[in-house]
Amino acid sequence: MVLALERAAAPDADHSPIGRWIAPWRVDGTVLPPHQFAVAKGLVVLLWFFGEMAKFRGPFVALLPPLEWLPAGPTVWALRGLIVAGSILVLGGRAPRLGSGLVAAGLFGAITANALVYRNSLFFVAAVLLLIATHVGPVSTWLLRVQFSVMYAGAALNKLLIADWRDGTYFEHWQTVVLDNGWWTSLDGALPGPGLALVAGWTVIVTEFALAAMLMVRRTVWPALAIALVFHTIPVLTDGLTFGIFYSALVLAFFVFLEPDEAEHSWSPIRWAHDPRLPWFLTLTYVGLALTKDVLVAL
Amino acid sequence: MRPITIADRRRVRLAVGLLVLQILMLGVARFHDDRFMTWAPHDEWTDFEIEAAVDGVPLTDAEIEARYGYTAAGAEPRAGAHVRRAVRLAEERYHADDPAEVVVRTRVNGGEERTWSWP
Repeated sequence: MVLALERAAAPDADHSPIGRWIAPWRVDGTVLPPHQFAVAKGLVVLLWFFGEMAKFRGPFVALLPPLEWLPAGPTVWALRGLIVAGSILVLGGRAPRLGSGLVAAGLFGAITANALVYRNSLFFVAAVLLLIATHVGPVSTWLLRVQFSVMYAGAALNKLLIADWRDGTYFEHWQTVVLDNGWWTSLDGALPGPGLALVAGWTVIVTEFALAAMLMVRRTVWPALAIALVFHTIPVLTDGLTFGIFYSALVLAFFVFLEPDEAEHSWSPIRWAHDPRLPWFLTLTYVGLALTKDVLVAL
Repeated sequence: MRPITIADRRRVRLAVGLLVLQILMLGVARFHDDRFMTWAPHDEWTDFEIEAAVDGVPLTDAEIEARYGYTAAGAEPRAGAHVRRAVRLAEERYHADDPAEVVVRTRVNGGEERTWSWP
């Protein structure tokens, strides 16, 4: 097995620059903590795998109006160029902070220049990469925690303030009309009580608030990650919904919480999961399997 | 422990600025219908239809999509306000010389139909 699941070795002082280019599995030896480097690499690979750059469009009803003065074609190519340059730096192990920043800049540029390109999934990837790009020490890892907490707290708050979420209307419509899930209707009819939609909606709200709180406390990080994994995997299994890049990017990004320093403080029964090469290995495995499946289907 | 540099401080400020922006947008969302950078994915499902006419001549579906970026009929999984925003801003910014009369019909989470017109 290529990947020996042990704690990452100390940086190799005399590792040649060329070796780093041809050793894409390396995630140490830079200013970034190995976990964050691995997550940055994985996010870049996912961006390419999901073809996000192909969806960029020229400025249109921009979130930042001055961007609309820019010409469409050159703007799109400039944004793609930022991501290409950043990808080379990140995947090649050269200046991963700068590379992450360039990719984040390209993504932020794309979603602010064209409101129709904006998606929360892209914003999430851009935000995580920007926070990785601004890494200076333990405070930066803490800011990554805050990012996740803001995301979950914001999502929960937004839902809590919508009547259709509080009374189950959204979930009912989502399952029975949008997704047209027959199993939902059958299950709803079979279960006693206030209704499956009401329970599901409040479960989502409470879970997101809980995750926002738990991810800010080191001792509860591991349970929070387990809950979040189940929470986000349920719609994948029941409805096949990965929301584009979001599911894989989010699961990958969770690994920033498994740095050795974090592991010492968190209740973590699976020590080998803290190997920083694991998220990078999982990303490549996921992409490899998906591409292999596509090739086999095409054949 | 290495000393904190000016570049380090700038990086931290940038990171904090990103987080503050999101918290601010969460506050803005309480008073505004737009849902950008507020972590509001799939908070409401809006089915919409767009009808537009320039000088009394109805636009085709392809022309509507080219003009506003949205298909003439579809669904917006984030916020129905984004459809109205796209129509309003497209008319204000790009079509001041050839204004259209637009009607957007929306139905949020399967509820009652609402109509919004421009101008």
